[in-house]
Amino acid sequence: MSNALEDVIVLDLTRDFSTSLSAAFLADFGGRVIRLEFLTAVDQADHQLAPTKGTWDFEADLIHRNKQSVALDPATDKGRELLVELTAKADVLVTDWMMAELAALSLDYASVSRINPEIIYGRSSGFGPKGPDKDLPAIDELASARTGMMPILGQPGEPPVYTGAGAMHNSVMLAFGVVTALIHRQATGEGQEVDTSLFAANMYGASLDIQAFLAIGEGDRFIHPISRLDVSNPMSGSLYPSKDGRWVTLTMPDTDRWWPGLAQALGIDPEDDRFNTHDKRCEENRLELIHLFEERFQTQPGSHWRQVFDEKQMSADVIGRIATSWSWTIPASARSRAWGSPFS
Amino acid sequence: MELDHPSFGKVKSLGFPIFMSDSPARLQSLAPCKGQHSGQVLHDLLGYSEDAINQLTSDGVIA
Amino acid sequence: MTKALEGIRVVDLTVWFQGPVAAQHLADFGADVIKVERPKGGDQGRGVRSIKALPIGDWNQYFLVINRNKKSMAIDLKKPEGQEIMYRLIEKADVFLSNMGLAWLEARNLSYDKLKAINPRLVYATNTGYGRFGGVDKPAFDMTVQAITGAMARLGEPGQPPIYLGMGSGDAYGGIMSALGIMLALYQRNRTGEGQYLDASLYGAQLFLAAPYLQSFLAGNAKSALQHSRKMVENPLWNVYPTADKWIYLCAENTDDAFARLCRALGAAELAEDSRFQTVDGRRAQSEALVAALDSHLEVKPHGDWLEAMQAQGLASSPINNLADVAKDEQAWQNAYFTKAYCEEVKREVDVRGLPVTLSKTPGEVATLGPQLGQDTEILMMDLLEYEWDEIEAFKAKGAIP
Repeated sequence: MSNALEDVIVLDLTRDFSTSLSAAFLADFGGRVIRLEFLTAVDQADHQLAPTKGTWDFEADLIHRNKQSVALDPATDKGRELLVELTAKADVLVTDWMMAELAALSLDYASVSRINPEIIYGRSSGFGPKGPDKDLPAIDELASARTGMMPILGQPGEPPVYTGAGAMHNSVMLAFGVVTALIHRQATGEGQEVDTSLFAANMYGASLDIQAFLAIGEGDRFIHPISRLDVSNPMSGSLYPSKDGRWVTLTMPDTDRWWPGLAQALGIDPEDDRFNTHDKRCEENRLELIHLFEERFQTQPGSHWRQVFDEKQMSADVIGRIATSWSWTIPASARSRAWGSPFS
Repeated sequence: MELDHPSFGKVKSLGFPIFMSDSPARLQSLAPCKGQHSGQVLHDLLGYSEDAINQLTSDGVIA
Repeated sequence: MTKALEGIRVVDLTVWFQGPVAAQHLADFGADVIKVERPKGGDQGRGVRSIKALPIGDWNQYFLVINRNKKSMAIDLKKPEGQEIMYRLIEKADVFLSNMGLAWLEARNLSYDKLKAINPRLVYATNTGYGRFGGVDKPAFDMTVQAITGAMARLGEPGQPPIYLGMGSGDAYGGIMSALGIMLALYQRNRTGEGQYLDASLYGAQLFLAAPYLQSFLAGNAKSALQHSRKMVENPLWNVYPTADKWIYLCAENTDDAFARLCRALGAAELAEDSRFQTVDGRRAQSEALVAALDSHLEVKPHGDWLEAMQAQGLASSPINNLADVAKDEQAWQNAYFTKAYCEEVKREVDVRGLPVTLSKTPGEVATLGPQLGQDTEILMMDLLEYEWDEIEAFKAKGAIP
């Protein structure tokens, strides 16, 4: 067994969950990731996550695992010299600091690339390296708010929803960009800057909605939340409450394939001529079918439906809280993955 | 996956989202303490001697 | 300009979204991505006709954007002759990517062992739904997977239905995760000469999509799995608020100073003096009252007024925009998060989702939108696979290619 990035030295100058996790991915796959920590605050804005005393710092062990830590004082000449020596040795630098902070420590790309032209300099910002908002703080909530999805995720009349998914997209995007640049460097020896932003990441996570809006360019269904009782396909992307209040979700875009089995499970005649074609189900009699599903799913508890879906290997599930999903929802296959055994 | 924490015993943590057959992700260590590897990195990456590292530590340049 | 992944050839045997978008990231950075499709109908994504019950428009933006910068070969892989063409393609490839089930691949003699024997340098990547182990082989669609990771159940106001993170958001995540895995394996391959097998499952990726909450839950914080109301938050200065027109997101630390500045921005002297809200702990303990008070202040004026006032006080805040706002967001256009591309189907430039990752010296680009089904079959058979024309005719006669 080897490590994919075993010859790669990464300097980790990050403070946010998203970017720190990005560097952790590089460490997980064998990069020597050296976290730079400073003994004197370099800026008032330097709000490092305060460790919670006496309890497991689960967050740190997720986002800083497999890393090394070097603590130095950049206020001293020798401390700054050490920074230069470290940058000279590094293959990659990953940061989420503001431009001005980086420049103050001569850790901006222009300074770093003078010392080490082959370095891959990965930076994540709030809104990207260009444009009027390039210096806004890198806060995922602000980026998410700009992405257009928050107003339409919930039910009509409900507050906008922040999911936090954008920050996770950003972690992987930055790592992807860095390794892509490393591959280019393998071929050519050339270093460069890699940029991602929380805004870009949130937009990427919303790809299908955003692209559809760009192309279709109108439609209340993109601007206002769609009630779960008005979904475009009653058998896909839909939610129905079961008898005990647990939610059933169906993902059967290809309704022809699933209709007979689902109809039977719900006590509906598959040949019922209101619903016996895809078009009837998804267009002509869509609302009628939604209401019928709504009524039928409430006749049995979630556990019943889960059993039905499992038996028929249907693309549907009963939504658990995390708590329940960990104990019995996760397929055995996935559990072994989540618990890590395939990786040892 | 389950991991063995030096202070808190067995704890559960997220594993790795990508499986690779020949170069799998591995958990080698938990989050480092601040400055845990200062000496080591200065020595094996930058070539500082033990004496020089001790001097830098007592001067407060590293910790 | 050179491309980061110039010279990397990818055989893209994927359908719908997660697999195709993984290959799209590679294609954006210059990899030669050859999409292999069944001759009849191709990738099912070609058949998408409506989104959210709205007609898709005069061009299939679902398929064409996800499959941009790619070539297409139509090969019937059920036929041994089709597999023979595939093998020759694999000899010339660096990466094989598929999001078909493992049984499906096995049935077409495209297992890892088979392809590795043909090309030991090959990076063989799959996107299984639930991981490679055990007997789960049911189709894994994004929402189903989100449902079981618990990502949905913690969102929304208490009592409201669970919330889907958005159409395809999990697929998008699995896609970039897969692209990262492929890059890691390629980097390694370039050093050692050995390819390998990798899998980025939709399920494994989605566990990370819920990472901040899941890790907290695993650490024993059961509350992180539950829905939380915006009316009662840990820090009322970090919350969504309605104004006279749209909602805003206020992101300020719960400090005395930030609270004083907020009160100034709102012109709310009485709030600044309210004894309940004088301390960090007070604002936390009385969050329900404070959120209600801020709600009633903010409701009276439009968001523009408030954002200006907050900005003047150095408070971070943002309008909560809708898709119509983002479509014209200058910031998105200037950073090429949106771009324009020529669409053959309608013979005009169209607006497309751009490049979320920027490489300064080898930037990605959107050179072409998705290919026509099988448009490159013959040319690649001749130029890349070096078949003679009569051999190609023979493949056609056998129905291996159209």
